[in-house]
Amino acid sequence: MSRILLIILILLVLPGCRDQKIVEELGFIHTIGYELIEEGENSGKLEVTISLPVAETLKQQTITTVVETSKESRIFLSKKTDKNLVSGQVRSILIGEKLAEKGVWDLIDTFYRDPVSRPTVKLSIVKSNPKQLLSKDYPEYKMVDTVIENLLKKEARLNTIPEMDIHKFAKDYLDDAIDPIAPIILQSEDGIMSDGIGLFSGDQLKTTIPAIQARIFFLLTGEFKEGDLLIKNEEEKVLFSFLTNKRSIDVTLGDKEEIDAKLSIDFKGFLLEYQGNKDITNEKEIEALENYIQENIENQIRDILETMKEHQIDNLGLGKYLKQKMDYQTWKNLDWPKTIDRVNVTPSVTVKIIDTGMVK
Amino acid sequence: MQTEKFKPFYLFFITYMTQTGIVLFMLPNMIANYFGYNGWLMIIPISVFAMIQIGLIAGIYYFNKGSSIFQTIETSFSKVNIIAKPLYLCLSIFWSVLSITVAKQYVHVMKFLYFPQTNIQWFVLLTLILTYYLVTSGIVTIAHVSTLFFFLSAPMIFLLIYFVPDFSFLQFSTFVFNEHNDFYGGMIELYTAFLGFEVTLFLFPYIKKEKKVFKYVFLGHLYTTLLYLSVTIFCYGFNSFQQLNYQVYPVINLLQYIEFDFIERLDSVFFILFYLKLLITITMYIWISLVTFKRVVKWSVQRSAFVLLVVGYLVTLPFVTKNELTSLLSLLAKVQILISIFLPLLVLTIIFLKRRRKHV
Repeated sequence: MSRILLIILILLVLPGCRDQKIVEELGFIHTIGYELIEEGENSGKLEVTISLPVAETLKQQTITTVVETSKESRIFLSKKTDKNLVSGQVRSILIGEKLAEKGVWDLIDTFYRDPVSRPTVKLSIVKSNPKQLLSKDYPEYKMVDTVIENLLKKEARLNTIPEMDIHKFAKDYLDDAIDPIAPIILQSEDGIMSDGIGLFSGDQLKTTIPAIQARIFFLLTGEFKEGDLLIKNEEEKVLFSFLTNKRSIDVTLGDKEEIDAKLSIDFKGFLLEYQGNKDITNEKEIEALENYIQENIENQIRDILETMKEHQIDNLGLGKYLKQKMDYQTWKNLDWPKTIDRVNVTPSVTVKIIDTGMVK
Repeated sequence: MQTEKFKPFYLFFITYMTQTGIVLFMLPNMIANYFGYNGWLMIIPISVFAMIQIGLIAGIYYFNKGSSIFQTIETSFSKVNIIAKPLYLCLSIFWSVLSITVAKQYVHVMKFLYFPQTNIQWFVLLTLILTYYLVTSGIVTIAHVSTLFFFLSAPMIFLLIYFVPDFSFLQFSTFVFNEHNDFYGGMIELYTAFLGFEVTLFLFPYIKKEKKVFKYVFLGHLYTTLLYLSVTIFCYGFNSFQQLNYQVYPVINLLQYIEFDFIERLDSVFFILFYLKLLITITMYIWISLVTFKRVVKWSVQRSAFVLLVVGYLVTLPFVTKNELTSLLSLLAKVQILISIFLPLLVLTIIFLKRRRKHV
C-alpha cells in the first residue's frame, strides 16, 4: 500500500510543474478603471486603464487603451507592456460615473464568468475620470492602487460606504427583491476620498446618497451595528456613540393595495460631544435631547425613502421582507420595485442616552 | 482476486467516497434550476428513496449470507450462463465507460478552471494510471486508501463556518418550489448524485462477517445526504436564488470567496483535493467492472484492468466538449439508475424463487 501511496503522491504533485507561471514575467493587474467616452471620434467606446505594480522600481505603471468591449482590452493593453498581463490579482474595479449610468452588468459579468478573477474584487464608482484618478502623481502616495484598496476597506468598516464586490453586486442585481449599491470615490485636491453611496436601478446608477446620510442607510440595512453618529443643525451639534442597535422591519399587507412597513430602530449609547444650549445634566433636558436625535434620524430615514420612491428603486431590500409575507403569484404581480410607492413606511426610532461623559 | 476481507466499518468510507463526486460542485445550481425556491427540500425524499434501495441490498446480503451475487445468479437456473455471460460483459464495459466519463468530466472542469494550458489527455492518462494501480491492488487496499482520502478531504466541510456571517435566512423566502423546471427530470438528476451505494452489492464476499454490516452503508449514505444538504442550504443562504440559477459551479464560487490574511484562492487547493475523492469513485466503478469481467474472461487481474481501462478510454475518446461530456454522463447515469434499481430486485426475485423451489 505504501508503494501505491508513493506513486499517487508523485503523480499528484507532478502536474504542478506543467502549467508554469514565472512571477518576474507577469504583470499583475491590480486595479482596472473603465469609463465611457462620450465625445470625439471614439464616442461610445470604452476607455480602459490598468495599473500594475512594478517590482524593480517599487512603483506602479498605468496603461490606457480605447476598446469596444472590455475583453478586448487585454490584447491592446498587453501590447504596451513587456509583462504578461494576468487578471488573477485584480483587487478593485473602478467604474466611471458615465459608464455606471449607462449600465455595468456586461462588465461585471465578464469578471464573474472568468474562472481566474475572484468574486471578492472590490467595485466602486469614480465621480471623476478613472484614468485621471489612477495616473495622477500623488506625492504622498507611493502606489495609488493600494491606497484605493485600503480606503475602500477602511471606509466600509466605518460604515460610510458599502463594501461592494462582484459577488455582492451580482447577488443584488440578479435578485428581484433588491437593487444593488456601490461606493463612490472621487479625486480631491490632496488625494482620494470616499463620497457616499451610489444607488442603482438594475445595473444603472440612478442617484447618490451623501456620506453623512450613508450611516443612516446602513442603520436601515442592519449592517451598522455600533459606532458614532453625528447629528447637527444650525443650533446644535451632537456626537452620539451607540453600543447596541436593534433593528426590525415589520411588513403588514393592507386590505387594498396598501402595504405598511414599520421600521424600528432601538439604540443605546453615550453622548460624546454636545454643542448647543441644552443643559445635559438635567434629566428632562436629556430626554428632550433624545427626542431631538430620534426626530432627526427619522427625518433622514424619510429622506432616503423619498429618494428611493422617486427613482422607483429598492436598495434597502424591503422587497425581501415583502416576499416573506406574500404568496408567489402576488409577489410576481407586484412588479417590485416599481411599486415601492405603495409602501407606507413608518420609521420609529428610540434613543436612550446611558451616560454623558467624563465631565458634568 | 484477493480473498482478503475487510471490516464492515470501511463500508462507510467506500459508500460515501463513491457517492460524492464532481456533482457536489454543481448540486446547488442543479437543485435551484430544477426545483426552484427552497429546492433543497427535495434532497430529503430522494435520499429516503436511495435508502430504500440500500435496504434492498441489505436484504440480499442477509438472505445470501454474505456470498457473492454472481453465485446466486449463476446457480439459479441450469442454462442461465447463456444469458448471464453476455450480460456481464455488457455491464462490465458499461461501468468502465461510466467511470472514465466521470473522470473526464472532472478533468475537463479542472483544466478549464486551474490548468488552462495543459492538455486534457495528460490528466486523463494520469487518472488512468492511478486507477490501474488502485484497482489491481485489491479491494482491501482500496478500502484502506479510501479511508485515508476521506480524512484528507472531509475537514473541508468546516469551511462552511466561514460563511455564517454572510448567511441570511431572508434569502430563502417562503416560496416552495416556485419557478421550477422539469420537476421529474430533476428528481432523476438528483438521484444520480446519490448513486454509488450500489457498488456494495458486489462487496459481499469481501466483508468480514459481523453483526449489522449494513449499518455502515446507511451511515455513509446519511453522511452524503448531510453534506449535500448543508452545502445546498449554505448556497441558498449565501446567494440570491436568481444568482444560484446563474452560477454553473456555485460551490466553487463559494470556495473562491474564502480569503484569509495569509492565504487566498483556496478553491484550487480544495478542488484538487477533491480529486482524491473522485479517484475512489472511478476506482470503485472500474473495480465492479473488473469483478464482473473476471466472471466471463479468465485473464489475470492486471490484464483485465488494463483492457477495461483502454476500452473505456477509447469509447469516450470522441467526447470532448463540456456539453458532450455532460449529456453523455447524464445518459450513462440514467442507465446506472435503472441498474441500481433493477439489479437488486432481480437478485431478490432469484433468491425468493430458489427458496420456494427448496420448500417445494
